Amino acid sequence: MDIKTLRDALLSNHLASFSELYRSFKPYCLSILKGKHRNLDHDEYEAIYNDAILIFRDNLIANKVSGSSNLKSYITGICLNVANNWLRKNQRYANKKTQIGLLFDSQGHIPLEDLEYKENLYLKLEKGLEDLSDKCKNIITAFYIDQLSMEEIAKKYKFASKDVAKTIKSRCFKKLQSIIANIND
Amino acid sequence: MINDQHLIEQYLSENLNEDEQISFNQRLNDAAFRKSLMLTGVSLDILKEQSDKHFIEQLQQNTSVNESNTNYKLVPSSNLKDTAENPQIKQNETKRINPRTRLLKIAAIAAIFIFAALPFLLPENSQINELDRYFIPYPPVDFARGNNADGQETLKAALKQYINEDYASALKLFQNIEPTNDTLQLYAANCQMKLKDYQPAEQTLFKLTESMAENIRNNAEWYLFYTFLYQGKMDKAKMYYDAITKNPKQPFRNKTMMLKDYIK
Repeated sequence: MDIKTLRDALLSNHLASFSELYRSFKPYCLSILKGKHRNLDHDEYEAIYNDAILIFRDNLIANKVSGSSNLKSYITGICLNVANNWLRKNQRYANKKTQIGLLFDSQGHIPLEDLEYKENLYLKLEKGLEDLSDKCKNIITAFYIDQLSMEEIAKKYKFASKDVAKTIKSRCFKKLQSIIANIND
Repeated sequence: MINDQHLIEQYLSENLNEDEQISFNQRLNDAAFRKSLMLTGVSLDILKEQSDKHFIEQLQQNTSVNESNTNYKLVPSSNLKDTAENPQIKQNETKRINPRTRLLKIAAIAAIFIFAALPFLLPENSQINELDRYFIPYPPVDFARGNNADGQETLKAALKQYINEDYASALKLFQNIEPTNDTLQLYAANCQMKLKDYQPAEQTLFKLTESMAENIRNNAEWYLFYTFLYQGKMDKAKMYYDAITKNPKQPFRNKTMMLKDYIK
């Protein structure tokens, strides 16, 4: 399967071919991981492989995987990088919290401590987000995290047009903000 | 004046124009704005985590269906459509249908049943053996100890014994290194656990839960939880189970949750 077909299938929410890839590369990646990092347990190898697949998916969506890439080597390479980061206790995903934290630091503003969300605040957010519909969760993630275009989002979630997708995205973001405002009060 | 929500939305979608960028930078001086921005960022992180989890679950579900090859009823409707729309995929999936997999599936189900029934079939101390299986000592990492060359040599020797699983020798060496520090104490506690010397391990780990270093604190909580499990001190184990699993920043949260059955 070529990269473009795989990406198109992914963007259309057709996961059969991606599942096949997930299944077929797994034994090889895990055996390489087990050879290189012996101190991890089975669940950790699995978690690393899952993280690698998610990175591969993100790169594929972001058009960062070239057509000439050997997918097996590419995914194995990601696996090894994830494992190295894992051992350094780093996160797979440069999250928004960190990104925003850096923004505050670079502006010379008050350090992050006063803004650090409390443990229960995180749980409250998790709980509050349950009020967000699946459609909203999908569209917000697709736009703000995966950075898909409105056309791609419309196609993926079968909206009539990109304008419809845009309107729904705005409504969903407002809903998210109102959830946050309630928690923040 | 540009609306805060609009500014946050534009910032997160990397669409701030020049005017908005200026307003955004000015608004960063406001604590309430920063908090809203941060909470929105954290919310997106949570949504990303949930989305990733769901994606992997979908892949795993599809994979198990593909492996069983007996029927496709479990495939989500969107994926059935995928197969219908893409004959190549359908052909590939059809090729994999093999009668042997039915036997494999039955064997796998039987294995799962046997595995699930094991705790009820085996004597109680088999739980300890099971715990042993999941116990992974703190990873050996060589770290510099400044100009204290003697200490550095002893540390290397201690780590070597630790890697070789000669925990008695490693413990002696770790305890002889001066001045000591939290990492050395953590290694010593791990050796004591491996030697089933739980009481001193418990005392050492308890002190380390007050460590200045977050990594040490997190590890100490996790190993302390384990120490209580080993000793059958279920009240205390439950206390640490709750503390670890309720802390979303605890790196051992998921691992601890996997041991939920042991504290019942």
